Order: sequence, then structure tokens, then C-alpha cells
Amino acid sequence: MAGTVLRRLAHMIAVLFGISVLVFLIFFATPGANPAARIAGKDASPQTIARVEKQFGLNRPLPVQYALMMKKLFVTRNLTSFVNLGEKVVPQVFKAAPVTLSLVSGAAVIWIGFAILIGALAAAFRGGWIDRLLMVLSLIGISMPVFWVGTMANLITQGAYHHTWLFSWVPPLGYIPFSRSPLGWFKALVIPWITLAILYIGLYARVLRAALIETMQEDFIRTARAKGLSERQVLLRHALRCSLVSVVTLFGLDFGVLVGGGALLTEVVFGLQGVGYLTYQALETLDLPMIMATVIYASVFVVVSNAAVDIVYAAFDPRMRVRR
Amino acid sequence: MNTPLLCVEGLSKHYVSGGALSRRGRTVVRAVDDVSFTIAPGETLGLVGESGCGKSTLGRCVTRLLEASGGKIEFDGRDITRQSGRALRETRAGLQMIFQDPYASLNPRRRVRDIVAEPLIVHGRGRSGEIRDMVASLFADVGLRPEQLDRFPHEFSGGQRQRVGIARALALAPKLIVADEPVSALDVSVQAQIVNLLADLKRARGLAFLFIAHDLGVVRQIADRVAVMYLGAIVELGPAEAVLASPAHPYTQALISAVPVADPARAREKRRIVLAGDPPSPSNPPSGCPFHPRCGFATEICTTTKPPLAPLPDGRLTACHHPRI
Amino acid sequence: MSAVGLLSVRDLAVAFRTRDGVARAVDGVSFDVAEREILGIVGESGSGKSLTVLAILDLIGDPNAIVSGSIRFRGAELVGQSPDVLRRLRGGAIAMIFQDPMTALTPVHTIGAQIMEQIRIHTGLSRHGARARAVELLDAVGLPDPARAAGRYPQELSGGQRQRAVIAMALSCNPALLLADEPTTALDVTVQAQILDLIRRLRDDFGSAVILITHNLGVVAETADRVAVMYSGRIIETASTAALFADPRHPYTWGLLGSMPELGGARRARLATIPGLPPALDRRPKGCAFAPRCGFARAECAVRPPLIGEAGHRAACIIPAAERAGARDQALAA
Repeated sequence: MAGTVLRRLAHMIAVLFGISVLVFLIFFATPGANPAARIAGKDASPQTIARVEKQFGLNRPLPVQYALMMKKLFVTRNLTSFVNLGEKVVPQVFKAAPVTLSLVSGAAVIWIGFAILIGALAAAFRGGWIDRLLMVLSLIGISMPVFWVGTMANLITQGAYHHTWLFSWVPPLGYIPFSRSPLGWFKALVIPWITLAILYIGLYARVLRAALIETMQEDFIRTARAKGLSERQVLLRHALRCSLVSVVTLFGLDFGVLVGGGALLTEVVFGLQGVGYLTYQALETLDLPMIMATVIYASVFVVVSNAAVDIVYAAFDPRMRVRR
Repeated sequence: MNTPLLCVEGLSKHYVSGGALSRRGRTVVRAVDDVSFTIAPGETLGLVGESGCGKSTLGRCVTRLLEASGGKIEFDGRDITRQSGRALRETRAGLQMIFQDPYASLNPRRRVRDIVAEPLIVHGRGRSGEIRDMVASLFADVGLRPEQLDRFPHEFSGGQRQRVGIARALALAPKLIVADEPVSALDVSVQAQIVNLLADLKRARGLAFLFIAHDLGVVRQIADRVAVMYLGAIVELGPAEAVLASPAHPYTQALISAVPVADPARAREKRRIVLAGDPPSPSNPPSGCPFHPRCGFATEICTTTKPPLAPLPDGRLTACHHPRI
Repeated sequence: MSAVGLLSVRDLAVAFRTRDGVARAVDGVSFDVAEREILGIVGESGSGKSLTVLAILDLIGDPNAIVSGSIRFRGAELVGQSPDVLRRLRGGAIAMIFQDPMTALTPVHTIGAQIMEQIRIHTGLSRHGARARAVELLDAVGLPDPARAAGRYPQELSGGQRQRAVIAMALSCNPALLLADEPTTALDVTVQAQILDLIRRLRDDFGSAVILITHNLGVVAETADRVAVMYSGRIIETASTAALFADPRHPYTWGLLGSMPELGGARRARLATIPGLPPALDRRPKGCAFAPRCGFARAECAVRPPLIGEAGHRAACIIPAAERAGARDQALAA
């Protein structure tokens, strides 16, 4: 077990190193890239550029610059932005992370719950009208762009119907920390959660339905029927567990990506200052330290959630435990 | 039987699993462990044993589909153990293979005519007209009708597909065919047709076979000699009649006694040796004789010393400290 | 033989709706199974032997299948019975084991949990009691260290051990009838011998009757009391095991016996074979389905022959008793 954890850790560090080097090189070594000129601003004089180069250490060899940046990021944690001078990067990310985590976790609970319900129902009534209706609905869910859904939700809950009894409880756009008010946190996030979850409910329900239908053809399902189980017991106890593996795989990837900044559109629409928002701003201004920080943060999450998926895998499907 | 067609000496195939970073936790699976035998021209050697005993791995090593970990394979006077490229291609012309599942081994999108013709074209065995004729005559030899030439594999029954597989293997006029469970996926009546066909081809063309099967009755029907494998090693090797009628190795005895007999009268008088448990894992074989934990005749020496494959007075070989003769 | 009827099947037919019409995969099958009797059903693939037993518990699971005829278990009709009644029978009074133990158990539950599940559906046993019973059963089928085995997942056991676990599960509610669909086909011979021993012991220890489906005449000869041979969806010969092997009467049975390579006796130069292939289900000949492949077919074979003979041994063949022995010798020699 300890060996497995160690191997995972080594693996993660290797991945992080690779990603950070890649981001660094894209920023510095892309042909035509001149970070100093960009920091100095439009039409800066050569002297200004030279001063900027010196001030930011951009005239030193690339490996040294890389090492310095990593040291400031991880050890001293005082890496500062290239754009908003003096502003420390690491605290910013730490401030944004809970927002994104709250958003994505809540949405994940909703989408997993509904996807299992819809996928199982559709598979149980395979070919019937319930199945067809659910699959059409899920396809609609997949097709609706999240920013459009978000905007619509805002129009309804913040605008036209805000003063009706139905939506008067919805607070203004923005994030309310859980520590300040759990109820406020919940109220502020419910609409964003649903908005973000819709796409994934549709996607996961379809994947789960397909996996369930495949599993229902297996020999062990016939054994389960021969034992005297009802169709519902066969589906829930024997087919669902085996089919969830495909959902878990997807979930690991999606969750990591979303927490790492993929929920950008939802964050923007609902005015949530999350990691996606932060990355977006940093990319707009080509603020390397900020990009580096968010990318590293994102990759940590992708790698960690992948590791978590492997553990969950083993819990769901003992076949995975036997291997290796 | 002076010069053997195939001569296998000390052949081993080991797989290493686990332990990518450290040596600890690494296990070596000895799928085939120090196996030696010969096959004379025109002779059929039956290779029997239960699943996991290494018989298929051995067959694949002989045809060079798998790389042997150690030992030597000589075919038709040439060492083919490490052959590659053109030399290996030429060897393969004389050394063909038939598989258990004829459906999986035939490309479903090609007409059987092209499947059978392919080796002929690859080896440049004639102009297209000549190849056409050769394919037609091969088809006749394996008992298929000419109008079936333009069909696809899925249009054939299991037995017919196996005939197509045999026709393809015969195309280059090989001297030796390694047949890996060629009839075990077929129904009894179809199986009999294929067994008869192989026996006819063997007689008519002087073909040698390494016939791998788990069905002892089928092996008895077709093999001149039989080799019995257990846990990666040959435990008994000798003339088919002798080995199957009066087995010397306790494992061969148990194997034969386990075969159900389609005759209630004889079944009742038969004494069955029921083996306890399952064969041990080749990654962790027992000490001494690999069969000793399940053997009714094991003594002290069996637990410590692995018996060599040694000749008995009647000429057959057996790897047992206490042969039953 | 069938003094006390446990199961009585009459004119059972299983048909499939296809694009080209209806194909009868099982075409009018009748047989009886007595208490504590082992009936072997022999046939090649496509003979309808598996469908016949799946139909007993309505486990065919194909929406296009139509089952007709009568299946009476302890006098009660099963065909057309409500799903609830059938469900209570399944795994209770009638249990089933399948061909491939590798895929017959759910990979995500332990062996013990899967056995307990069945026990708890059919009995009022507590979790604790069910677990104790599961371990007891695993012990009874000869699984080493049953308490530990109960906590294992199917993929942690060998094929033979899994089949033992499947059998333990099938026995968990003391079934009066066990349907075994090729239970040893996927296993090695030495393991097959163990499992067949176990199935024979079931009758003594558990008092179960067994329908044993197999393509292997040897398995039947060593295990069954009575045999039914199926061809193209019909029973073409049925007799006590001793009678069938001593005096086989149908040319198809001869073909099966002749094409089986044997370990004993003199080695035959050639195996007898049955020319051609079984007919497609929707193109079965009007009369005897075997006639096109039969070396002894005659004009009368254009009419479907009934099962004829004495009560203990009947065959669907019109070859007169006087000519039979000669024809048989000829068939087995070929």
C-alpha cells in the first residue's frame, strides 16, 4: 500500500514538472514571444524594456528563471504577478479554490444522482416511451450551452421573476463563503449547481444507460434471475454496480478538469471568482506567474482526482483489486 | 525416423510480471520450462494437458509467434530459434499453424478465396491464374465446394471455417503443421469430420503435426506419439497407444481416468483417480516434482528432487520417481 | 422409471419471431423427470437442449420468443404462469447452474454475499443465519476453507472452485430440481470429474432431481439415469442410460456414438461421421428432421415419425427392429 502511494506521488511530481516546464516554455520559447516587451506595455522604449528585463530577471538563463519561479511558487510562496505589480499569486489561487470546489462538488452531487436515476430508469424501461422521453431530454441537456442556460437562469431568478415567491430567496450574484453562512452559501450556489449539472446529467445518463444495457446481457445477470431476484433487484444489485465503472472513469476526468478551471463559463455567468475566472484573466493579460500557479493547481487536481478514481474503482469493482 | 523434422531442446518461455520499479514483488511465470522433444517427418505428436499447462505457449514458441526465453528450436536442419525477417518467412512456409477458433483467425471482410490465396501471393508462388487453380485444388482437398470460394467467413459453419483455415495452412505445402486445439470448438459430429480430414491429409501429403489438444480421445485417434504436459513441463512422452493404454506417470493416469466413458458398463468397472484441488500456479510451482502435492504415490524424494524425463524399459520417457510400470 | 412425476413437460415448443416468419427452435418436446432422478439431455449446438430447460423457468429472456405447450412442476402448470410465481420457484424449488462459471457470478459481490442473497430471498433467515448456511454449503460442495472462500470474489477462484460455488448457490434452498446446463463443458477433465462426482452426490445428500444438459455422451453415460437425445429441436430417442448405450436405436444416436473418439478399445482407422449439417430452424424438413443426413432414409421418412418403442426406450425412427442391428453395425463401422 505504501509503495502504491509512493509510486503515485512520484508519478504526480513527474506530471507536474512536465506541465510546468511546458507552460514555461510556451511562454518564453515560443517564436516571437518577448515577455519583457509585453510587460513593459505598448510602444515602450528599449530602455524601459531593458529595465523590465532586469527587474523581472528576464535576462537570466531560462533554467535559472524556471528554478527561481518554482522556488517562489512552492517554497517562499511570494511569487508576484507580472501585471498587477506586487500582488501575490498564491493567496489569490487559495482564495479562488474554495469557490470553484464548492461549485463543482455541489454540481457533481446533483449530476451523479440524477444521472444514475435517469440512466437506470431508461435502461429498466428500455425501448418504452419512458426511455425515449428521458433520452430526448438528456440530449437536450447536452445540447444546451452552459452560458446560455446560466444567462437564462439569471434572467429568470434575478430579473423577471425575482420578486415572485418562487425566486425571492435567490441572493444577488456572487459567492458567499460557507464559513460565513452555510445557508447563504447554499442559496448562492443552487442555481449555478443546476446550471453546471444539466450538461453532465444528460451525458452521464446516456453513458450509464448504454453500460447498463450491455451489462444486462451478461451471463451473471441470467444467474441472478435464476436465483429468483426481481427485475428491479437484478438491475440495482447486480447490473448497476458493474456499470458504474464507466461513469466513475468519466467522472474522474470531468471533475478534475472542472475543478482545475473548466467551470469558467459558469463562474463568469454567475460572477463567481473561481479558478476558471482567475485563469481566464491571467491568460488575457498573459500574466505568467498567475498562469503558472493556476495551471499547477489545476494539474494537481486532475492528478489527484485520477488517483481518487482508481481508489473508487477498486471499491466499486473488485476485479481492479486483483490485477497488478 | 533418423533425422527429425523438428527438434526442440530445453525450450523455455518465462514471463515476468510486476515489479516495474523494484526487483521485489516481481514474479517469474514459467509457462514452459525446459521442454525437449522431436518430431520425425510425417509423424504426429499429440501434446496434451489441462488449461494453463503451457501447451499452447509451447506451440506458439515452436512457430515463432512467441519468442522463446531459452533453448533451441531446429526445423528441417536449421536453427530457427532466433531467425527473423526473410529467413523466418521462409521457415514459416514450411511450418504452419491452425488455430482453435477458426472464426477469429479469418479476416471477416475478405472472401475465403483471397484468404487462402494470400500466403501464395506473399511468397510469390505463381501468376494469378496459377494461384487461382492452386486455391481451387486446395479447396477440393479440404472438402469444400468450388462455389463456396467467393463467400465470406461468416457464411460458413464452424467446421467449414476450420476447413478454410486448414486450406490456408496447406497453401504453401508445409512439412509441419502446429494445430492448436483445432477441433475443440466444434460439435462432436463435425469434430469427427475434421479429425478424419487431418488424418487423410497427413497420409496423403506426408505431413507432420504437432497436435495440441485437451481431448485425449481425439489425440489417440490422430497421434503417433503423445507428450503429456503438467505445469510447463513434459511429464510423459511415448507411443500414443502405450501412454494412453498404460500410463506410467501418476498424472497421466489421473488424466485418463477422468475422461468420461460413453459406455455405462465400462464406466462402472473403471477405477477413477480423483485429483484433489486445482493445478498449482506456474508462478509459484511446488518444490521437487511439480505434481507431488496432488500425487497419491509421492514420497520424501518427490518433495525435494525434481525427477528428470528419463526412459523406461519400454522406451517411453517419464518424469517420475515412481513410475507405475 | 417415472413413478413419481416431479416435472412433466408436454409438447413444449419455443419459437422465435424473425423477419422471415417464425422459427421453432424447440419443436414439440415431451419428457418427465421423477423425484431424485438424473435426466441427461444430449445434443449438439442448436439442438434446442438449452432452450428447453431455460423455458422451464421462463429464463429465455428474448422478447421474440414464444413458449407454448405444458410444463407441470409438482402438478402446477408453469407455462403462462405469473412472473411472481415463477420468481418464487427460481432458485427455490427449481435451481439452475450454467455452463461458464467464469461469467456466471457477478464480479462485484463476494461468493458468500451472492449465496446469502439467494437464501434471504427464499427463506426468512437472518443475515447471520444466511451467512452460516452459505459457509456450510461451500463446505458441502468441497470448497477448501469455506469461511474464507465466502469472503472472496469470483475472479479470485479457479474455474472449478467457481463452479462449486455456483452449485452451492443453486443448492442453497434445497431445490427439488436442479437444471444444469453444460456444467462441465468449460472445465478441464480432472475438474469435470470432480464436478460430476459432486452432481451425483447431490441426489443422495440433497435429494435433488437433476436435468443435466451436455453434448458429451461420456458425461451422460457416467452420470445420468435416463437420457433424451435431441436433434433439431426434437427428442429423437429416450431411454434409460443402460438401454441407450446397449441398444441405440436412432441413426443420429449412432452417428454421435460413432463420431466420438474413444480412449478404450481398438483405435478405429476413421471416425464415423454424420455428413452435412443440421437443418436451419426455419427450413426443417417436413418429415424426419434427420432424414437428409441419414444413410438409411427412405420414402416413409417424409412423414414425421413419432417416438415409438416400449415405455422405457423409444426412438423417433421407422427402421424396423429386425433391420436395426445390421444398420447400426454399418453406421458405427463407417
